[in-house]
Amino acid sequence: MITRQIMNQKEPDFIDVQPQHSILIVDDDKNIREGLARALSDAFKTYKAANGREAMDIINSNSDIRIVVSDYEMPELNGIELFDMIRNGKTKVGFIFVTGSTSIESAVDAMKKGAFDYMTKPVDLMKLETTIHHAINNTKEMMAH
Amino acid sequence: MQHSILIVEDEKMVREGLVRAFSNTYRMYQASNGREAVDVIKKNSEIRVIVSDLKMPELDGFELLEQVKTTNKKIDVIFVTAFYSIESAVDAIKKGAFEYMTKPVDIKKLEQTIKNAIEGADG
Repeated sequence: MITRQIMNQKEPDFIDVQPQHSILIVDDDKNIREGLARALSDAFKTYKAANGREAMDIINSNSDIRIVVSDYEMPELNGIELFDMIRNGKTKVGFIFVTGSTSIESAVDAMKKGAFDYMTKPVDLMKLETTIHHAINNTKEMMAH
Repeated sequence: MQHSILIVEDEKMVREGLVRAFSNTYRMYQASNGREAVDVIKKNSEIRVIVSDLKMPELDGFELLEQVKTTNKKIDVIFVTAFYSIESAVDAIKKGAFEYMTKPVDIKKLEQTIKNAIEGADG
């Protein structure tokens, strides 16, 4: 009886918890994909895709996805092709590149097209998490206008 | 109508080379650092595009960009730098640079980029 009372009293605490935002990790390297998903799973609900094509399917069937964290070079549909498809579609998601590519040109191109950020591997996880939070706030503002 | 552009570069050879390369198409102004560039812009309101180095004494390219974006939003800034990195490239575009190119610069590509900036095209 006492135990239940304590539990009942505790319950309302959970109502104050912030809703968890959903993000999608896209990387063809399984270790990186799983590693990033694990590292970010405390802060976000994480989806995973191994290439742009898979990512597109997941985005289309999960409208809760707010941010895409994507590699650049991938088979089937690469990062910039995925970004182009998303930009041309209706879904408003923030896009963050995390890439091993060191091409200045592709970084500039991605940023000019409206990517939220473009980071290089090995990525600083703390910085990535902060960037995702900023991107979420940014898409909120975009939708408010 | 001939458009005006400003070349900002501390290395004299590079600066004069760029000025010469575009003097048939545009009215050219030049400055050897960001501080000088700010003065030239103040005195010549017709300047439409700035082609600037990043690493310069007195006032560097990023500081120049910041000043330009707070005082005259109509001017586009194109960076041409030998000290390039993904991080500074990303930062430059975030802060409103029109383009970020690496040295040695492809003159044809730079010419097209200046043209795009003047015509208000994106990239």
